[in-house]
Amino acid sequence: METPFIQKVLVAVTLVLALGYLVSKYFLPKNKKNTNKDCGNGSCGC
Amino acid sequence: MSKQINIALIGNPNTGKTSVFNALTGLNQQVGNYPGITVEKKEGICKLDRNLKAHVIDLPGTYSLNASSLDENVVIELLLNKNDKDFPDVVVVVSDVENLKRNLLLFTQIKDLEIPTILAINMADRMNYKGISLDIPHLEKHLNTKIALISTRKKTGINELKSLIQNYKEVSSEPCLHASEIDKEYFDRLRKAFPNQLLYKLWLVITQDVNFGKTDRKEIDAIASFKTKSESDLKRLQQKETIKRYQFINNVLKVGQTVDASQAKDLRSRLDRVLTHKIFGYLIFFFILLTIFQAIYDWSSVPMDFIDTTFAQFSEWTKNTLPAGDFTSLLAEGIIPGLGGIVIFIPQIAFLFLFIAILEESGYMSRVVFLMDKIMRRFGLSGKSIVPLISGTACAIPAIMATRNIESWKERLITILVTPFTTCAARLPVYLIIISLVIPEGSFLGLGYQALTLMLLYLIGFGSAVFSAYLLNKVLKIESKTFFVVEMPNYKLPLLKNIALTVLEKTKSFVVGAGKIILAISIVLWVLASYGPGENFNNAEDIVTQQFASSNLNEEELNKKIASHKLEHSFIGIAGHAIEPAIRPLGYDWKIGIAIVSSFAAREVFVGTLATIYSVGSDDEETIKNRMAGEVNPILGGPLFNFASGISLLLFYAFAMQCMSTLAIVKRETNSWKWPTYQLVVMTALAYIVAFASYQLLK
Repeated sequence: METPFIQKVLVAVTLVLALGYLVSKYFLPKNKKNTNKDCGNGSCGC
Repeated sequence: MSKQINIALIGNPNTGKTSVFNALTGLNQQVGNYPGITVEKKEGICKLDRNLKAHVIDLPGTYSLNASSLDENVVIELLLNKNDKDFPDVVVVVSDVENLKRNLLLFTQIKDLEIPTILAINMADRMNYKGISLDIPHLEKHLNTKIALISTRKKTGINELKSLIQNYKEVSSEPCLHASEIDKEYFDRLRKAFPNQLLYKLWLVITQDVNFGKTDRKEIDAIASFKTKSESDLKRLQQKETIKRYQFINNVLKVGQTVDASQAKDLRSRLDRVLTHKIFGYLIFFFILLTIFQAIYDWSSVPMDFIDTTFAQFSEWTKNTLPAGDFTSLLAEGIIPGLGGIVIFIPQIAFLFLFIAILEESGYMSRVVFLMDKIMRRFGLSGKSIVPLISGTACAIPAIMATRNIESWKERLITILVTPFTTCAARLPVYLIIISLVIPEGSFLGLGYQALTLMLLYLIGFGSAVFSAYLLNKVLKIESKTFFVVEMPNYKLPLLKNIALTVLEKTKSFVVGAGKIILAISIVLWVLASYGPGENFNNAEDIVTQQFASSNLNEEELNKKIASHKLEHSFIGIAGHAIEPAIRPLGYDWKIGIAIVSSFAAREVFVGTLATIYSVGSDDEETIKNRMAGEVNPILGGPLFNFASGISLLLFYAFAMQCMSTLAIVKRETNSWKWPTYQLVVMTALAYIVAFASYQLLK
C-alpha cells in the first residue's frame, strides 16, 4: 500500500509544479528584478 | 589603481564592428539592453596596459547620425549626452575598406561633435584582391585623425588600434566640416542664441528627436524657428549637409584612395549578376529551397527513427522496471512520450537551421533580401520586411522584434501582423508527423512527395504573409514614407565554428524552450487523462467486462477496451467530447481537438499531446507515428489520419495563430491589445474556414 500512496503524492507534487510553471509563464506578469535606470548589464530583467 | 576610459565602437552595418569588439574584449564582455528599450547593448573590457583599461561599447550599426530607427537613435543619444556615464573619451569608427566613401559620412559627422575619433579601416586583407590602395598619411592629415588598418579575419592591426586608443589624447578633436558651411546665416543666428553650445550638436538636436544636457529641444526650436519654419526646410538643410560632406570626402579620397579595377580579381560582381538576375535569381532561390527541404527529409530519417524507437523502449523499460503505480505511469505514459514528441524533431530542425546559417554566413541571404524587395514593394512591404519573414522560419518572436529597424510605422505594423504566417520551427513537428502519415513516400523527378508537400506548406505560409500584407496595405490608413538600403556583404566561405554555434544555440533554445512547456503540459494532460469523475470512469472495468461478456475477447483486447473506455470518461475525454461538435466538420476527433487546444500555448505541443493521450493506458512498445497511424475514425471507420483530415490539419496549422508568446510580443511591440486580438481572431477564423473547406472537398 505504501508505494502507491507515495506515488500518488509524487504525482500530486509534480502536477502542482507543472501547473505552477504554466501559470507563472503565461498568466503572471514578469518580475522586474531591477528598477535601476542604469540597467542593461545583462541581469537587469529588462 | 588603473584608470578606465570609455570607448564607443560605431560604424555602418556589416563593417565587422562586432568582430573588432570581440578582438578588443575577448571573453570580457556582456550583453544587455539599453534602458527602457530592448535594443541590444554589448559592452566589454579591454586592457590597454598595466594602468589603463578601456570600457568598450559596441553600438548598433548606423549609416549616419540622422536616425531613422530606434537602434540608430541609441548612438545619437549617447554622443549628444556628455552626462551619460558611457559617454566616450574616444570613438572608434569602424569602416569597411571597400565602402570607405559611404562609411566616411558617419565618420565626419562624429568628428564634428569634437570627440576624439579614430578611424579603423577593416577588411584590409581584401585591398589587394579588390585593387585598392590607400595613402594613409594623406588620409590622416586631411581627416584630422589617426587611422588603423586592420583585418579581423586575418587578425592583423588590432595591436596598432589598441596603441592608438591608448594614446587617444594625441588624436585631434578638430571637426572635418564647420557647421556654418551648411548655411552661414542660419548657423550664425543659432550661435548667437546659444553661444556656449557646440553648433553641430545643436543642429543634431534640432533635427533629431533627442534631448541633451540641460538644453531642451523645444527651447531650441522656439529660438531657431525664425529661419526654419517647416520640416521641409530642415530636410533641405540636411540634404545640403550631406552633399557638403560628400564633397569633402570626395576631395580627400581623390588622392587618399586609388582603386585599380584591372587589378581586382572580383568574382562577386559576376556572381551577383546571376544570383540577383530578374529570372535566374528567383529560379536559383527556388532550387535552393527545394534542395533544402529534400535534404531535411533524406538526412534526418535515420536519426529520427532511432530517437523514436529509443523513447518507446525507454518508456517500456520505465514501466517494467519501476514499482507499479501512478507516478510510474506518469513517467512512462505522460512525460517520456511527451518529451519524445519534441526530441524526435531535433535532427530536422538542426538541418533547417544549418542551411539557413550557411545561406546567411555565405552572404547569399542579402541577395535574397535584395531580390525580394522588388516583390515586397508591390505588397506594401519593404525589403527590410524580408528579414523578419525569413527569420520567422525559426521563430516569430525574434522575427517580430527584428521589425524595429523598419522606419515606416505602417510597414512595420504590417510586417508584425503578417510574420506569424511564416512557417516557424514550431510548426515543423506538426507538419512532419502529419505528412509522414498522409503523404505517400513516392517521388517525382527525384523529389519526394513528402519534401514537396513540406516546401508547399512553407510557400503557403510565405504567400499568405505577402497576400495579407497586400490587403492590410489597402485597409490601413496610415501615412508613412519609406526607403530601403541593404548592405551587400562579400561572398565568403562560411566559418564552421559560426555555423556550428548558430545551429547549436538555435536548436538548444527550441528544445529547451519548448521542452519545458511540453513537459508541464504532458504532466497536466496525463493527470486529466488518467482520472475522471463518476461511475463510468471509476467502474470502467466492471462496465466493459459486462458489456463484452459474450464477445470472447482475450485479456489484451479486453484491457484495451477498458483503457479506451476510461480515457473517454476521463476529465480530458469529457472536455474533448464537449468541443468535438465544433471540430468534427474539419475531420478531427476529440483527441485531436484536445491537442489543438493545448497547442495554443505553443504549436509544437500538438505532437507531444497526442503522444501522451495515445500512450495513456497502452501497454505496447510503440512509436508515436505508429500509434497515430493506428487510430481509427470513430464514426466513419478507417484511419483517423487520412488524406482529407491530414490536409485539413496541415492547413489549419498553416494559418492558425497558435502561439501565446507571439501574441504577447505583438502586444508589447504595438503597445496595444487591439492588434494581437485582430491577429488571433482573423487567423483562427481563416484557419477554421480553410481546414473546413479542404476536408469537405477531399473527404
